[in-house]
Amino acid sequence: MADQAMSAPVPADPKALVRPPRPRAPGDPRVLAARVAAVVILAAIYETLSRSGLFYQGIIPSLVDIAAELVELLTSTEFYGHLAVTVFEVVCGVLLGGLVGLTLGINLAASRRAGDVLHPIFLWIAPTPKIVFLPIIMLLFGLDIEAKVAKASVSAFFPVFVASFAGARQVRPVLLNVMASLNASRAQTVRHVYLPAMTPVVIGAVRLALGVAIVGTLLAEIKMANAGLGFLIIQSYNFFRIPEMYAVLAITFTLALAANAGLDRLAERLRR
Amino acid sequence: MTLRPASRRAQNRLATWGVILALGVALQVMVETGALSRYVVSPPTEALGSLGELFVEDRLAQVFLLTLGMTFVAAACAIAVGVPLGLLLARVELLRRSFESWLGAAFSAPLVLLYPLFLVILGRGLGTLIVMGALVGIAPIALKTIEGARSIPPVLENVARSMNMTQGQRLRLLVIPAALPSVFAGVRIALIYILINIVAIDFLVSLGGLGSLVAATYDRYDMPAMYGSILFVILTSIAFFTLIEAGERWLTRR
Amino acid sequence: MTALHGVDLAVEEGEFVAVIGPSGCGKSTLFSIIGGLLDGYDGSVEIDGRPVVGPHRDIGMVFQEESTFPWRTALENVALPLQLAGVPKKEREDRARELIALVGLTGFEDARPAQLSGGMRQRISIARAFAAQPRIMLMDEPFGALDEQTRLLLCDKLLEICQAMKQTTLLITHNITEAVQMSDRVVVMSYRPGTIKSVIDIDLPRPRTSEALSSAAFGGYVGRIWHDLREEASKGMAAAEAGARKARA
Repeated sequence: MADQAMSAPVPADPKALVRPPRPRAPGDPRVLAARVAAVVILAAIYETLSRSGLFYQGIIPSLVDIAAELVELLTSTEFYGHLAVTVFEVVCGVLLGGLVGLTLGINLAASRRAGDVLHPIFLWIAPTPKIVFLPIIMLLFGLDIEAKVAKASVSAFFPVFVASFAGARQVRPVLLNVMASLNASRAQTVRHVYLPAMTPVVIGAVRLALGVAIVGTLLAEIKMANAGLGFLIIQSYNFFRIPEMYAVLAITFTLALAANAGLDRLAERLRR
Repeated sequence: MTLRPASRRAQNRLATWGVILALGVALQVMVETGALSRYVVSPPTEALGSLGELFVEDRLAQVFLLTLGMTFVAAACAIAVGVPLGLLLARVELLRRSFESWLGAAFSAPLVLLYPLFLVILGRGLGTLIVMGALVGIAPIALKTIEGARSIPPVLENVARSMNMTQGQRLRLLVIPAALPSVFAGVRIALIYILINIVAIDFLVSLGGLGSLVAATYDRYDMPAMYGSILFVILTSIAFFTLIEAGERWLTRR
Repeated sequence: MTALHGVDLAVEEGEFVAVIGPSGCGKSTLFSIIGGLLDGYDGSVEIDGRPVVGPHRDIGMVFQEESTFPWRTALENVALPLQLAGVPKKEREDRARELIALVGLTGFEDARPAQLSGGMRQRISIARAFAAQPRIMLMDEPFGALDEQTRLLLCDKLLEICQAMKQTTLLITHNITEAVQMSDRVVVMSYRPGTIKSVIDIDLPRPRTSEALSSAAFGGYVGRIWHDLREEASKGMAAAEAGARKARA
């Protein structure tokens, strides 16, 4: 009889607790129209400026010229070589810097003393322009792919560390106490409490880390000028091949935005 | 015996400095004993010592002021564009729904990479730095302005309507005061990004600021001066953000 | 500030002991010390005469606050101690199902805590604590956040389980009725610094269902405990008022 009484206050059928999937809101056609209009207007203004003769010959190339360069780039194997190099550097940097940042962030957060003493050091360096570390990286790693991966890692490390530390410190103490009462090891606590509790925070941090890693990698490639999309940008600048420069920039931006949107989509999916 | 929170914080702060000092000493020892080459890592004492030379020979003070000055000018431009843009988007719902996400995309995009473009269009001058800085600062300021302008409690909107406020009055007396805390937050974020981007571009293009100094000392292979200038940049950024945060706290307290 | 002073408590195997005291008397501190979550105290905690430092396999803990893992289903929550001990999946899920049945939540194995009521979540926490099969069960006001009726029913249930398993239990509570209903002995604590004011043996027949609540003997025990507790509770109230007055000054 006690069992019946206890299950009464909440629906007796547990299946009723499962939520049906939410329908997505339909796109507003006016928004689409506004965006298309904006793109068309901006393109028109640009093209007008380009052909107006106001600017020195060629520094604002016609969209047609840029499109032609785009086609040439996307059909050249050399381009894909550089693209692969940049993608490789960014991905390695995010993985390396992200993993170190996550591990260090959680572990420092887990120990009161060490965390309180050490984390301010990282917090102080976090908003510094990481570009100033590039000479040190070049001295230590040279001018090849290792240096660029190092730069990307340094860039990616800080947002992930800062977010992981803050996120880990905000985990409800009672959950940590439950693990302590069950004599769980640090690794078990990280796996079963910290990581699941911090998932949204970590994903947000990885998005930010990706953004700064892309910038860091490309700037390093510009400085070292030997490979990658950054190299292509600075090379086309140096040889005054302006439409090509615009084309590479367009591709770079598209990829960066796509990567960001992709992570956004992933975050949405993991949230459910 | 448990320490009171204030004294524990002080103890921790001391320990943090202790760690930094210990790291410095360790580096010094490693370079002196040859474990680390002094052509790769300068002994901390020499790096700190170089600051004097940097002040005199490389006009560190002027360089520092230039970078900071450019940052503030760029921020002012970003505010001049970003706040009205944000207010407009907050006011016109269709515009907001269409373009707020574009601002979000702009915020996460590697805008700094456009600097060669502006070098070509505006030439190798401070104009490029200011325009690039402003460009990078517009998105966060506009986004935060939208957030702030939309955070007005509905009841206040009704009060404004019941008093028959004109659009101008509503903007001045209701929207802007309500949005101010968010706008300050946006300006703080923008300042951080602007400084980072200006130093980065300056490093690559040598326009006379702190970034150029680091690049120049590296190029002439003056290791102590290079580490000294890097240290100076770190200290500048720490001081900069501490001051911004203090300023924001002071402004929002009123 | 001293939370506890001169607390000397012995619990026999199979006993159900309740520790009751006014707010601020240090009962939660005592709970944390025995459970091994706090150190820096003078004294010792011993099991079978052997001192124990830090969380011990023989001690299970049920916390006052909401402590289910929101990202695990009810079944996974209950299975946690077994998973940490390396028990294979099938075996630990079967055992968890048994425990979920024991606390009356059959059918809700795949629900997430967010979909369950507070009382149900607390039952999950209790089932989880039992999963580790601890020799000693420590509970800190497990039913504090629940309404009276749910509390009474859950007390019945818990008592049933503890009696069946002859579980040695130490229950921290502020609720006199709960203390008398469930325990063999009630320890009354004084206000801060917490010390043991009195120990009252509850000589009521078992099993003790909610029906026993109406008996005269029950009322007598409640009265005795309140008599000892009242003075301490007033001290607590007076101290709180003094503190508030000082804050306003």
